[in-house]
Amino acid sequence: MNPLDILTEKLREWHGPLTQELVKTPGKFGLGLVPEKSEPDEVTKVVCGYCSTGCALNVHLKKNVAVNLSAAVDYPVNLGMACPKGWEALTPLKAPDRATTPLLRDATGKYHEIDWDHAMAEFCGRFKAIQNKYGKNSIAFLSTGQICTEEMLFVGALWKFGIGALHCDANTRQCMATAATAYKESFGFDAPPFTYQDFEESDVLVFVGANPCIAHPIMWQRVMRNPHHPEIIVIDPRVTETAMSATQHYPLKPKSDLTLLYGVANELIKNAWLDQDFIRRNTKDFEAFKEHVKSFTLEPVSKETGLTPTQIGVLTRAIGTGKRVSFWWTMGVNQSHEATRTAQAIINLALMTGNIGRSGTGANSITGQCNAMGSRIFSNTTGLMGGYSFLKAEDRRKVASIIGVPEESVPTENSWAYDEIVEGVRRGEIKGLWVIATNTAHSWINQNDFTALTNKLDFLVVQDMYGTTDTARLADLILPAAGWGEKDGTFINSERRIGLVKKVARAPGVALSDFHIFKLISHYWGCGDFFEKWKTPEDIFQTMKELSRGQPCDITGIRDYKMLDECGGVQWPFPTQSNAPVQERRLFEDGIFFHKNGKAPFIFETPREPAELTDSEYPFILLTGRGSSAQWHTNTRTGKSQVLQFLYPKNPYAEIHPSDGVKLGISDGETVIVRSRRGSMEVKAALIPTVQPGQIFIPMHFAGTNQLTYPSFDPYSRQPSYKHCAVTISAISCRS
Amino acid sequence: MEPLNLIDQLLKEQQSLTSVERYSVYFDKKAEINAKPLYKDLIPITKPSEGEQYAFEVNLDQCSGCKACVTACHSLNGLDESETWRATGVLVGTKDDQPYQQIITGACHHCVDPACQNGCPVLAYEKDETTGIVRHLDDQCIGCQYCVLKCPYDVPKYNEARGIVRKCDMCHSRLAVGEAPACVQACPHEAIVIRKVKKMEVLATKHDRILFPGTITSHYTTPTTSYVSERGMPATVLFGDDSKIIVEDGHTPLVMMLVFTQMAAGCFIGNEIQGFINTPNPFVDVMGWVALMVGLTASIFHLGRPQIGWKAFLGWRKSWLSREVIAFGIFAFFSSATTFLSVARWMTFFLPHFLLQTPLRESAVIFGLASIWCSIMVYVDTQRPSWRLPYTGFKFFGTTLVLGITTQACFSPEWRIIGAECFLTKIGVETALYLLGVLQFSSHLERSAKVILKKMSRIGVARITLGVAAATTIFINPFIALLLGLAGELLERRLFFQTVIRYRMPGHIGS
Repeated sequence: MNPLDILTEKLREWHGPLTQELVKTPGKFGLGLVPEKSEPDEVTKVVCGYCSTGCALNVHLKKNVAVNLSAAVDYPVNLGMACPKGWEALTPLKAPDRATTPLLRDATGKYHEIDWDHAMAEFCGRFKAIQNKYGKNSIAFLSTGQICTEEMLFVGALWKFGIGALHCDANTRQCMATAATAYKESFGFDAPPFTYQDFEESDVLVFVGANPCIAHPIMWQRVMRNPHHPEIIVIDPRVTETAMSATQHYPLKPKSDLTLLYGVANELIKNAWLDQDFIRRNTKDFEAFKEHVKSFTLEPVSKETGLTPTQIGVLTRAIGTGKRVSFWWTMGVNQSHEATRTAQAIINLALMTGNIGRSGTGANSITGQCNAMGSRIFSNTTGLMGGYSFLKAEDRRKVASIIGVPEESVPTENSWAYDEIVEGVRRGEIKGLWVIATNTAHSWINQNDFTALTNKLDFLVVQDMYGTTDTARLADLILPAAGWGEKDGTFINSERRIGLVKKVARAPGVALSDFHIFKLISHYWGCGDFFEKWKTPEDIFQTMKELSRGQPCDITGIRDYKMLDECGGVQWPFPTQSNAPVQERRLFEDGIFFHKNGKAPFIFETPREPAELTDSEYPFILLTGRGSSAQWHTNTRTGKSQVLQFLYPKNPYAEIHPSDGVKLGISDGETVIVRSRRGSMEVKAALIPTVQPGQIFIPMHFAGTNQLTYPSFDPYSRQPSYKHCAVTISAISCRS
Repeated sequence: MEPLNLIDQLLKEQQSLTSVERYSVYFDKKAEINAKPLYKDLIPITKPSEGEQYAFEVNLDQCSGCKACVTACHSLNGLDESETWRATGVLVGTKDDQPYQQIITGACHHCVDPACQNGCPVLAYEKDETTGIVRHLDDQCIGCQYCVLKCPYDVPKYNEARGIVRKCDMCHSRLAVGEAPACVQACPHEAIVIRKVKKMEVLATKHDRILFPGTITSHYTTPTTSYVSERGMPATVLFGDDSKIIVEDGHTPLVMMLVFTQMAAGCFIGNEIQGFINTPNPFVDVMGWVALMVGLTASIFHLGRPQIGWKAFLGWRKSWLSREVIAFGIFAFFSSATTFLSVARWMTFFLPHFLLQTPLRESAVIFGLASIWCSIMVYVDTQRPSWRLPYTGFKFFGTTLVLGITTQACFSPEWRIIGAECFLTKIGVETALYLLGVLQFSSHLERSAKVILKKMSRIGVARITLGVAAATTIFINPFIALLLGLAGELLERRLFFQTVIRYRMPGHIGS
């Protein structure tokens, strides 16, 4: 080097404090290099608190406190991977708008910080006063699929056995009620039959109303690992990210699924692509079903669905000739005016082709929330905790004895569903409402109606991590809750795997875990004695085990949390036994269902039209759904991460077909107004051909979306039908 | 039962953390890196040999758009709350009459001929000899953000808290010990892998290559990332946010610097010419010198770490910014000397003859012009069509003329007419370019015009008004005209920065 270069090099700083900030060091514990400034002294696995995939995250700990996290490798669910929400799971815990202390609203609408003693006196005092005035069942709670199973069980027991109020539901009604209802009727128990290994072993995967690329990215990993070059069939009105990867895509008319599925069934029968043995041995009512689908010939089905007879033929052939055909569905099916029958139509296809119980097959409902499964079995809302029925005396007796409450305290009737509770508020029969870890004022259908209805309540309590959610802003009393990562407990994922969540962070201020809050309430209400034996969440886990004994969901073989930690989660059922759990297990391998006679019935009904059809005034069908893998529902958590914010458009937008753009005279990127009979919303027009003409798509994450939706419900599951209502689009004439 | 005790007890329980004690510590401290088997096929087994370098390869068919790569990079590199080194976007269009969409993920492309490195005035970039990784030397960086303007792929990101830029380093410390970069590790579908490429080959084919439609062709920096797809991508795809109207950063310190230093150069040039007609006016020298000092001081505010800004000459070999700094330095010297002498003479101080003979003002003029030329080239060198030589040259030399002439007109009325003509010509050409954009004459003109029309119409109108006002007021009070004209030029320069159409990577639908 010449002298000039030597001098130049002397003036270049290769090291220094700024460079030092990004230095990496071996993380040990099986991790590779990690940032030195957050080098862990211990690592522990925690199951993610977002979706039902149930990935395990390696939480990097310094003195027991989480400083970073990465995806766990040695866990049967995610095999070293996580989606962006999981990677950013710690960030929402540190948001500046965490609820840190109970808040009480005064007559002028101002919030005051109060202590827990005052908050509890307020909670119990006012709910009791409402009950005295309007009756025992004039109070209700709306809970969630995202708190620990133990907490769900606690509040369900507290409410119905301790407080003696009847009505309660969870937001699982908005996502999984259909699957639960369909499974109960068809299989005899709410039992998703699959294990994730089935994604890798199927040769024909049929996705109905599901977009796993962005809704369940780590389940999609298993599909991509499938070595059999499978047919990937996507039935969805939009060309979603998943449809781009599909080998066959069927962009049917929105909500014509039931017709299509009956049409496919009819074609399967015509081509004799049936497993007659299976039908005979393991099902009933096939002949009636065969008669029902007779009229669903290619012509009318093609007309209804907008698919050509050839397309329907190709679809049928794939299903009929596949060796291991698996059906997967999520909200496109579950959120519909005839959702339960649609789900059962899928189940019927699996039954008639014998695609159930074998690896790579199944009629597989993919769950939405991290612990919707826990809610479905143990929350004591729709069904008596443990998968039992409020209507059966022997079930009530068993549960009462296990919980240690008088038999009379167990209700003998079912409670109202979410929408019925909302109607109860409208009629003035529900005067007190407790909302736990869900954001009704954003996510409930026909949003403006709900927001107005809250004025009819005498008392609204919101228990949440944040006092800033849309629902919390309407509350009279806000109870500050600890979030995921700040408490212990279990979640149950889509493949029935019970996994562990752990306390790896300190809740801010005086926020308490839901478990602790329920304990406090039971104490102040005066029914604390019933639940005295539950000193920790793990105590409730032991109760869960007892409840499950002899049930299809028997988990008496899981010793304790430590065993769950060591085993990498355990799928139910796992009754008492000495063997270690086999990691990937599916149901119905023996073809015997949970009905008395072991046979699954074919259930069917005539398709109906959706509740709100388009007309000249409102000519577009509004589809709603997930916008990106980086946003979780109403975005109260994911919205706190600035990294995640880079991964999606911040402002509301609508996908509109370019030809509609031309007709409306709007250009790409222009702000337009989307209006329904119930509300309106300003969005940016994104003119792309992935949505069909006459249909538009708006993600659910924006607060305005549900101001447009139409309150139609499946008659059996009472799940709202978010994906079909009529809207109109207009340009904004003058710019602000 | 004392209620308070229960509350305290529960609060105590809530705050106690015992995960480590309660759960079996089966994470062995010395354990093998358990992710290694997962990614061993995703990085090369051996280091690059002579003439080779590491390069990203993204398989678009495998990418499902989950975006875990962005968050893994963030967490495993210990980035700031709002900092990301990888970004995603989408391409949309139709393929064989079918709707088409594809998520794109991109980080640094570790170019063979990196624009960031070439433009850096303090040599804060180094392309590693062995690996080809373009590394940023954080402690060398002065935070001038020129690399942000130079890079056509949105890679270097300014970190305001630290006053430097930071960017993807292909996890060089991981590769050095046989571990895969964070994004490679985190992709559930193995869509991101590291390959070895031959630098000569990549260079040789740079004119025929492009990362994907919508990005700049690869001849500029020779990026080494390849986006592969068996499915194929239609050539007509657009960025998901193609129609987004982007108002770029206003770079106020640079606006000040450019306009005032160009005014300064104009003053000295004008005074030199005045010297041929009559005698140079010392007040013009003073105003020019003050303008120069204002401009150069303002420029310091653009630096994140001005305390080491003096190193900015180091990059003179390749960086127009370095050359600009050097030229300004010499211009400042000669303009100071000229002004000092000019004032001294006016105050009838005795000055030695040799000083009066030294061609100080001539040198000031030469280095003033050289500085403006370097300033122009700083922006031309970014390859942005809005900043091509004719446009930038016209605007910067235009500013020099109008402000220099108007300053002279403050003291010599003969300059008024030509001053007014220059203002009107400059306004006229700027307006014509805007109208050409409205008439969709060319893509970048059209897009820039849209920015003005939809987002900055008030500024645009103000700019024209001030220019016309200066052209007319010059006949009444040239000092007022100078102020109006200066304000107008500052707005013109602001529009220059804010309406530029940069080369970039795709964003999301609805952005």
